[in-house]
Amino acid sequence: MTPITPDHYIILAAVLFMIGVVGVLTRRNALVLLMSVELMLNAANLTFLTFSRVHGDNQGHVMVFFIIAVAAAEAAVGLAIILSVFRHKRSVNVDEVTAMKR
Amino acid sequence: MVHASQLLSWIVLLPLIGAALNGFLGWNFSRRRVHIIGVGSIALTFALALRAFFALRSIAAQNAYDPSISDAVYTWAASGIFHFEVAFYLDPLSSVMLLVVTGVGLLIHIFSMGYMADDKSYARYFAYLNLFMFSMLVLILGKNLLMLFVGWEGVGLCSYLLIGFWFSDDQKAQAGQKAFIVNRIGDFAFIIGIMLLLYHCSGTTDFEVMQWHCASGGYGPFQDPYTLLFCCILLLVGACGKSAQVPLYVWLPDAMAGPTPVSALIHAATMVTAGIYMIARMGFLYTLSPPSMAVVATIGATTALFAAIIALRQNDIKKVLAYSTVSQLGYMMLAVGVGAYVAGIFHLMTHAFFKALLFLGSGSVIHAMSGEQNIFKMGGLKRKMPITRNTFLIATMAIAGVPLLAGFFSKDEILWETLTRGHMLPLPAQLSAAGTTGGEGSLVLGGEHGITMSTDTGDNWTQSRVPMTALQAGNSTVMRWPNLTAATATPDGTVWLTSGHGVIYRGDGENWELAHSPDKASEAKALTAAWAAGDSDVWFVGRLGRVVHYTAGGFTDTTVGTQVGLHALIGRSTSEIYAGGDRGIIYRYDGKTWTQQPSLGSGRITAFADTDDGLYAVSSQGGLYHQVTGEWLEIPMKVDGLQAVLSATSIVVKGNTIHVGASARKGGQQVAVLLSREDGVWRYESAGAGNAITRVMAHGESVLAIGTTGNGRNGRLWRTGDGGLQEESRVPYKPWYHLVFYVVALGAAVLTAFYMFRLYFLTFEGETRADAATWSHVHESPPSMTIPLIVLAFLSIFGGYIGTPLFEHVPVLDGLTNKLHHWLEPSFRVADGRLHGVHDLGAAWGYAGLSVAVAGLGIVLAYLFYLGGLKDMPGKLSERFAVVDRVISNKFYVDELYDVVFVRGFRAIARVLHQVFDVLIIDGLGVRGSALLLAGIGKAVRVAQNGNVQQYLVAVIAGLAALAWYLGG
Repeated sequence: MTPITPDHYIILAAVLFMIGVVGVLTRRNALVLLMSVELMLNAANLTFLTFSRVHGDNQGHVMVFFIIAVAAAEAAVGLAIILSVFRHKRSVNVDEVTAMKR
Repeated sequence: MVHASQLLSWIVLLPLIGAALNGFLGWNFSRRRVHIIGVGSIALTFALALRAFFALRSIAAQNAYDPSISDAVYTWAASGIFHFEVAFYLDPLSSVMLLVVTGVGLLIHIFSMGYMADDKSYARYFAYLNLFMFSMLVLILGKNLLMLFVGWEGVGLCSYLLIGFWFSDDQKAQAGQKAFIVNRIGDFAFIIGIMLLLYHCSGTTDFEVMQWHCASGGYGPFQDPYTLLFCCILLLVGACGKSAQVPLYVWLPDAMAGPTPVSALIHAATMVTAGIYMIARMGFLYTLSPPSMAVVATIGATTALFAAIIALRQNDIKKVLAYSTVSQLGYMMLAVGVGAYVAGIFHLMTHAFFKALLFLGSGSVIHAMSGEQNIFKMGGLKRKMPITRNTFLIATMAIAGVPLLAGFFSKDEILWETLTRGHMLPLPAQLSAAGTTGGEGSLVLGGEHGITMSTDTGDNWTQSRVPMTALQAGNSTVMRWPNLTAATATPDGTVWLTSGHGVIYRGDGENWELAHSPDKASEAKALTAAWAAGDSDVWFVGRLGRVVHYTAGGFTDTTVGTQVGLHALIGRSTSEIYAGGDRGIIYRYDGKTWTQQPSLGSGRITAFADTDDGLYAVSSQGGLYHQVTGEWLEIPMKVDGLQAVLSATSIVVKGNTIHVGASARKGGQQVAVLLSREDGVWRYESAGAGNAITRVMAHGESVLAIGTTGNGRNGRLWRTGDGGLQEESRVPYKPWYHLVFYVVALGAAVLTAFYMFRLYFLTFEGETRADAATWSHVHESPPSMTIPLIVLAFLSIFGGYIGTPLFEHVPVLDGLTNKLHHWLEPSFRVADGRLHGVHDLGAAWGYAGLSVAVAGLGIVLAYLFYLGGLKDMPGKLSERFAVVDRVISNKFYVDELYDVVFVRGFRAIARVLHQVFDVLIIDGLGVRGSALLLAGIGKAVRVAQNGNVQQYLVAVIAGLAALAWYLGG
């Protein structure tokens, strides 16, 4: 059995990130969009932690704390906006949010 | 206790403060407050001006050479060598101007209180008037040309504001525009002239510094006479604009659209004199260039006559006075043009008095006549306006030149100076050619750069130049004026000149032509001596043994002997000619060939003299040789008082006295001397340490020596006489055209007397031609208007006594003789050094009598034509000479001419520029075009804004990927 090297973690984080990107770009449901964003952020977290372990210092851990806090705040704000839009349009389809289009 | 120099700043500032107060806050002030500020500031300024004047006088008592008060306030700009300081300067010239401006200005401010009492823009009027005083004071007190120009522009502006004071009337507003624009043309030329001076005077236009640049003579700060002339003319054009000379006078008659006190102040007493003041200030520059002064005087004389002619047929009281002002300014310009600076300023002063009086009097008349200005609708006013009438009459007599009034003295002085003044031309450097055209007292001298000076009588010289010739300079040929080295004259009066470049010129003393230049460059050896055997037989010798012989058949150029340089030549007959040169060599010509004789010493033989007693020769080692019956004997030159005679350059024998021009050592110094030996005794006369005598000749009763100063930059002429050797560095030159100017000025004087008395008679005398309603309103003016009239009348009578030379032997008044001249002397010292005048009191009285007769003629004619027996003559003359009459009445159609030539053309150009450039290109293409362009770009880019967040994110990711790829690889 091959040992688990940091490379595995990196690849895992990259795959997760790409899944998140594809989700953000193609999905129409606003909630799914937010979930994809969270996926991307967590992929970044994983990457930071991996490299923190590799270099042996805790700077990566500190960064992850920041990211978790920011992700939480951003999710809260995002959900608040989606709630507002839903109250107006009774739908969470991002394709329908075109009020500012010329 | 205010220090004297601070006074100047206060004098300038007080009117400005008055202008600011009345200008910004005056709309709220009562009449009383306005004129307390307006008139009070000028009254204070006048008091300070008096104080400054007396301060200057006490300085002058101790330092009579160049008294002045300077006040450098601050440096406005400095960059490299360019230096512009705000500085004020009070010297005798500006002190006279100061008193005139503030004094007459004060009187006019007082007059305005009464005249403008009913005007609704009282405060604005006084604000402008004070602003004008400020600008004028900056102009006259400025220490450099740039400060003068600041004031110059300021008075131009105020003139515009005041002429167009009643701007609601279109015509009056346009008159203001015309004044400003015509003035501007002059200003343009002026500023270019200032820039030229700035450049050549190392970045400064300070009057004292520029004077220093011009003190040494030559061309002042310039390299050649043409730049100098150009600069002087540029400055003159500026003065023509400001002082209303031909061709830029057209604004002054139109300027009468402004209130009458304005006409009195600006267009009679002060602003228009700025041009004259400037030229007088720059006298040290103008006197360097006699042609420029001729131009100035021509313009002055022309204007004086031209305007006087136009004034003959003007019917508006103010227009007559306007043209009269232009004419009198022409007199002042004529005065400064012939170099009579004091006379010009004197006339400026007296003119300020009587012209201001005339204008204020006319203001009084117009006020009384409810605005009527046509003199043919007036008449008989003397009965109802006695004070105005009397003062007006006094001023009219003054301007006409009635004796013992101010105008007579100043005008007469200008006429006298025009007739007698002349220039003093500097002798050219390296003066070494001297000859005579044969006439008694005639002399022709030649020096460096081909300059020749000649005279027929000794008191009037002409300067001319040989034509430029193609000469060898190194490897190339250039056109140059060569230095002239020797001259000789043939019996028929032709003068031959030799030059340091080997070319020969021939002429009559004033006009020269190239006679001979060698064919091959190698033969262009300098010629050093010449001798004429007859009309068609002239010999020339020069360096490297060159001998040229001119005969009826032409020029023969040969080389004699062993190419030793020849420097002396004399012939006793056509077949006995001697030439001498370097190393004591002597050649003798016997009619066919040149044979070498035994040498005389080892120095260079520099000159020969032929006498009945034999031949004399001098050498450059101080030897004198005498040939008697074929043998040469040396005569030692041992002179008491000289340590040694170093070298001799020329010799002439007069009677039984030998005169030698030489260089000797005296007291350890090298001195140029003129030695003379009579009865075996040698004497010497010193011609100055460091100088050099190049030639001596007998001239009339005395002996003349010419030479150069030690620095080689100036020529000198020495003449023996009682009291030793007289040295001259300049010679007098009286231009012939001064007589023409005199005649023109005299003619203008007749006309002046005539039209001024015509004005007086038609306005005040005789029966009235006004209608009943106007006539009943006619009344004498209030004291605020009549008191200035009386004061000015006083000045018009007595103001002239301080400047006349005529009272030298009159008991009481001789203390005042020439007081003005003595006071102004320091200001014109440099300029006067290059001029000369005649001081002949008897002749002066004679010419004074002539001008009185001429004035009297004008007055008598005016009386007869308009009051006396010949009343129908004006009508008959206009019929007989209808065309002439029409031309004069229409002011020679000058305004129409300018309209056709300049105004229409410029208007058309302006219209085209506006329609094409302004409207189409700048407005259309530029302004609207750029707006449309931006809008278009916006429209194009807006398409990408579709509100689809996911599409935006696609763009973001794509950008990130590209960035990562770029950074990675």
